[in-house]
Amino acid sequence: MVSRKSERLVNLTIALLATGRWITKSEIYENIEGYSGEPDAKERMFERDKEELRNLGIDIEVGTFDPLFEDEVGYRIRPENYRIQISELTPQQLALISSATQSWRGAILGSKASAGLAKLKALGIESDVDGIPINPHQLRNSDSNLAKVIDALALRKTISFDYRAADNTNENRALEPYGVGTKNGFWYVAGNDLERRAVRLFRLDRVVSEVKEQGRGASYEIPESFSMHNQLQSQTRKYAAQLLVRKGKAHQLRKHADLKESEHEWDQLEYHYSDVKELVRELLWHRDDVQVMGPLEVRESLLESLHLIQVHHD
Amino acid sequence: MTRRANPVEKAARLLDLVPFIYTHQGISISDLAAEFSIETEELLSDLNALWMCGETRFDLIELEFESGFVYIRNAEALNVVRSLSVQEVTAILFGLDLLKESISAERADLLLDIEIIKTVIGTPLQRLVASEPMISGGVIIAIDEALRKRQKLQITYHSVADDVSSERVVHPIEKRIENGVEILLAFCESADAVRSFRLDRIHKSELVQVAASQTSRVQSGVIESVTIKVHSDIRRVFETLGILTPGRGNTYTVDIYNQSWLIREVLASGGAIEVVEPAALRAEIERQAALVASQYR
Repeated sequence: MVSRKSERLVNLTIALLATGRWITKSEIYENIEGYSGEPDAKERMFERDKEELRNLGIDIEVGTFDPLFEDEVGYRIRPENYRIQISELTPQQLALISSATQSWRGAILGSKASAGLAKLKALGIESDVDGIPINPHQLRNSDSNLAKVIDALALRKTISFDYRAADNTNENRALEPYGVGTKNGFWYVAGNDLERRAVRLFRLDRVVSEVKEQGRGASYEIPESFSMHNQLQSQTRKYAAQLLVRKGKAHQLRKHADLKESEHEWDQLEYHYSDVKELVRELLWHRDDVQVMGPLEVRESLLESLHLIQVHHD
Repeated sequence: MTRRANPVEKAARLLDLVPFIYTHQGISISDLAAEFSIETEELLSDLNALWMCGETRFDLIELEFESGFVYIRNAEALNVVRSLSVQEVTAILFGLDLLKESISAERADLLLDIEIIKTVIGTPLQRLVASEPMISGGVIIAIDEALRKRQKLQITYHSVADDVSSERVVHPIEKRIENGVEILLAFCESADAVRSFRLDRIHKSELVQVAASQTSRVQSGVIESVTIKVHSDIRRVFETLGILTPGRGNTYTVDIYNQSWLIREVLASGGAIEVVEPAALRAEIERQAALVASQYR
C-alpha cells in the first residue's frame, strides 16, 4: 500500500510535469494507475494527492484549456516552478553546505538536511571537502516540536500548544508562526499570538504538549518587517546605574560596565542595563560585593527585595 | 534504526532520486543509500517503486541496479532537480550558522562563502530563521538530563585562559545566563569546589551513570536536602533549582550541592524563594540579607 501511494504521487507528478498543456481529471484517472473505485472515491483521492504534492512545495496550477469547455478545468506543473533556481555553487560552497548538514546527523532535521544536500548534489557540482578543515558541532535536538513548528511555518499554518507560563501553570496558546531560532542553546518560535494579538516569543522547551497544526495553509502573511534575529536580540542596555563594586569581585557585572573611579577597596562603575528587575537580581546575586548608588528606583527596589527576604526568614 | 518514511515522504524522495542518479550514473547502491541517509533495504524498496513509474503504464522508467550499481534511463520528464523546501533551507541555514562558529577568522573566504550561500539558497527565509552563538545541542541535552536527574556529568572543557582542554567530572547545580552568556554552575570534583563553566566551551558532555541509592546521593555531592517555599516567579524557580519534590502547600524539597550557591539564588530571587528548613540556613540567609541592607544605612 505504502509503495502504491508513493508511485501514484510520482506518476501524477510526471503526468503534470511532462505535459505542455493542461490535463483534465478524466485524463488523469484514465492514464494514471491507482485511481480506482467510484467517481467520488477517485475524486477524493485526487484532491488529497494534489494537496499532498502542494505540501511538498510542488506548485500545481489550475486552469481552463479550452474556452469552449469552461466547466472542465485542467492541471499542470510548470517545470520552471518545479525546478530549483540555483545554478551556481562552487565546490567549496557545496562542501560548506555538506558540513552544515552534518550538524543535523541523527537529529530532528537530519533527513531534511540530507534531502536538501542531495538536491544540490544532483545539480552535478563536485564538492571540495578537503578545502574546509572543519569538524562541525552536532545539533542533537530531538524535540519533534521543532520539526512541527518549521513545517507549520513552511505552510503558514496556525499552531496551538500548551505552554508553561511564568506562574508554572500550563496555558493553551494559538500562534501564527513567523520564525524559528536558537540562542544560547535554547530554541525559540516567534509569531503572532492570536489571543494577545501581538508578536510573542516562546521557548520550545517550555512547550509541554505536542504542537498541533490548525486549519488551512497560507492562512496568514508574515509582516515584511519581521526579523527573527531582532526577536532574539536582548533588549538594549539603554539605562545606566552607578555601582560600587569590591575590587577583584563581580567579574560578570564588569562586562557591561565602565570603570569611573577606583578608591581603596571599591571600584566605581557605570553599569548598563535594560530592566530594573533583572538588574536587582544580578546585584543581589553578588551580595555585599556590590552597592548601588543610583538611580533611586533601583536602590529602592533592591531594598524592598531585601526587606521581603528578611521578613520571610525572620 | 531510522523511522520508515510515510508514502508522501517516500514520493518526495523518489522524485529526488531521479535527477541524482542521472548525474551519478553507476553509483553503488550503498553510496546512494548513504547520500539519502537511508538503509540499503529502504533504497531497494524505493528503486523497486520507481521502476513501476512512468509517463504511461507502457512507458516506464528504466532502472538497472541488479549489478549493485544504479543506472537510469527514460525518465527525462523527472530529470529536474526540485526546488529546496522551506524545511530543507531552514535545516541548512541553521547548520551554516553553527558552522560559522567553528571557522577561524583567518578563513575569511569560508565566512564570505557562507554569506553567499545564505543569499543564494535562503533569501526569502533568512529573516525568519536566526541563530545566535549556538551551543552544541548534544551538550545541552546531556546537561539538562543531568540537572533533571541530579546526575554527575563528565565534560571536556576548554579553558581559554590556559588554552587547554581538560576532562572533569562535575555535579551540575544550575544553568544560568549571566550577561547573555550561558553558564553551567557545577561542583567540580577535580577543583573540589563550585565552578562556573561557559556552555559554549564545553565540547563534550556525558552522563556518568550512578545507581539511585542513598550512598550514590552522597557520592554525587549532594550535601543536604532543603525545604523551600515558592512565593512567586514559580517557573523561574523551577528552571533554576532543577527538580523540586512537592511538599505540603507551596513547599518543595530540593537537594543541593553547595550552600553558598543556594544562598545567592535565594537572595537573587528577591523574595520569591523562602528557605523553610534547615533553620541554620534560614538564619544565614536573614543575616546576609541584613548585611547587604546595612550597606545602605
